[in-house]
Amino acid sequence: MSRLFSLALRLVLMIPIFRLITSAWTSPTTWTATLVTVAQFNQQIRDNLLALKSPPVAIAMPNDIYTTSSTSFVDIDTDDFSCSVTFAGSVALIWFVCTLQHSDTGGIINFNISVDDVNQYGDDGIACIRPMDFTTSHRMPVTIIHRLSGITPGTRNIRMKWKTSGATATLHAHGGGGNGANIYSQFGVVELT
Amino acid sequence: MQIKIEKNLPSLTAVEGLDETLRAFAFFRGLSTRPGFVIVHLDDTATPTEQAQIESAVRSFDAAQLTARQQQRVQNLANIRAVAQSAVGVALVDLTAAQVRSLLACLLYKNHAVSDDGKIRTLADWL
Repeated sequence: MSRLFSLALRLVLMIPIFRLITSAWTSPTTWTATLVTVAQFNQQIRDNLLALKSPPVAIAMPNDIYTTSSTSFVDIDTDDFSCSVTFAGSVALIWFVCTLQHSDTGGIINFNISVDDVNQYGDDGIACIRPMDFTTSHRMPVTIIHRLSGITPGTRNIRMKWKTSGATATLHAHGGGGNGANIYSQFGVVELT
Repeated sequence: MQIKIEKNLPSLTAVEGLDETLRAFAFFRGLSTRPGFVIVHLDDTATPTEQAQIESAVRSFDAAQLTARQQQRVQNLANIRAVAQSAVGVALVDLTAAQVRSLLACLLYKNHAVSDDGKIRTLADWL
């Protein structure tokens, strides 16, 4: 019993230590002939190293089947394909892994990225996929890696958008049933610089 | 604009059936789904009355009921499948003309070369 209490106490005491790891980035000082204080050293060296080791990141693991018939860009899902990140810099790496299906031959699915609900690219977005096969059988794995620059520092909501040329596009993710039941889709955002 | 409505569509057929039904509204731009919910995309100019109309259409949609177009497609496919089924186990040289035609129809269907009314689609759409 006392061992359990001791373990619980240790866990409670460790929480602040874990919190320290999520350090924010501080712009490095240009040093002149000044003595460095402990506080400055911790902020400029320790905290910035920790910030570099664990940059702001958010990962979504969607868990359903999603469809759209929209021919203009709409959210795949406002909650499930949504990552909020507090940026110190302005460049992010975005990744998106999913499995797609289309209900019509020649049906095209396009993707776009939005920041605070503003599409970052015009025209047909950043990628186009044409699964092209029979409705009930064909699924196509898709991976998109994208470097997004020009982000305004602060907390930003980044979402994946899609549209179809017509008919119905389907995205299969884990838990969605059928052949998509054991596929782990992922949408993630990490700050680069 | 979009409206999120609690509505379960158990199959892709139901999703497409609802989409086809909502195309009757000029201000409808498409729909998205996830299990348990339908998200209807509308023109930004859609009035509150039009929004209410489309919400009512979604809620009253019978997900088990095929549209006329879907029924025709199912019937066409069933007819072709019935003849093609009779070809299973038959040697190529012994196939009847009807069986050859139905097997060809199967391949054409698989390539989306056949429209819902059973006619060959424009070549540019599938070839």
